[in-house]
Amino acid sequence: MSAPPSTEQIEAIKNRMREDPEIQRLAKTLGVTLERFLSDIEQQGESVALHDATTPEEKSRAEEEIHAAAEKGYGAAAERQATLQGRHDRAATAQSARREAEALARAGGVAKKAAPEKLGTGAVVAPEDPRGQQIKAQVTAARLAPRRA
Amino acid sequence: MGFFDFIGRIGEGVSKLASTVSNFFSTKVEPFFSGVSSLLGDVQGFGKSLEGAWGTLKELIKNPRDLLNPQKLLAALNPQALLGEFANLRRGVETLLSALGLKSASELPPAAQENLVRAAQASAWQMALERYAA
Repeated sequence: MSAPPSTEQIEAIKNRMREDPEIQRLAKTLGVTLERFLSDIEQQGESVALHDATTPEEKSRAEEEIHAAAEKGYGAAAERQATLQGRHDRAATAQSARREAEALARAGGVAKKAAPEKLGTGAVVAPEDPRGQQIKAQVTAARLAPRRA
Repeated sequence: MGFFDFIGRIGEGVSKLASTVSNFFSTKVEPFFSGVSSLLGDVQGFGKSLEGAWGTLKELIKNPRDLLNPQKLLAALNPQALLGEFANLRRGVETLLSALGLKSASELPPAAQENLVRAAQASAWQMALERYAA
């Protein structure tokens, strides 16, 4: 908001805040009543008055410390996110491989059921069906494999 | 009481008052938050990850004395890092208290608690203006 809010607007905003359960919880966490929290909130929101016990040295280091803390905080979060993403990717790859293996096993079962006598001698499958292509490959492999004595 | 004693007492009073005033830091909130945001603008992910905000908060506020450092306190609870949500501000205050090993803000020394309340008010008001006054 560019212009400062009017008294009516301030009261309307405070009323909305008063009804918000999160503001009620926030006041409780801070150890003050909701009314105490809202009483002079617009003044603190405009120009906050805080006790200051920082030494001149601490003051001159403050920006550096804030920056360093943020770099560490957000850096650690990014690293953790990357690790979790890596785990997620690995899990997704493993799951995809498992699904592929299950599909192959199912396809093999279907082929056996459809033409059990033809396995090893060449099952007829539709060339446009990708599952059929897999079955065909399995059957070919079975034909090429050396027969047991 | 002699005249010079009287002048001396006034001098002491003025000196105490000056010390009290110098211990009080007053700043315009919005430019301060903008300043913090531009200061942290080049930190990758700043303002986009709550996990990062909690990490920053724990790094900044390590003992109750840090609550008496206005720059640190307002940087820790700044609305942009908390994505402008009241719930995140409340969680931010909880994170801060847990980083100090406290269950309640009322366990803090009075000045530190007062600062925490005021900083939370400043942040909440910025969030409320964004949310309700549009």
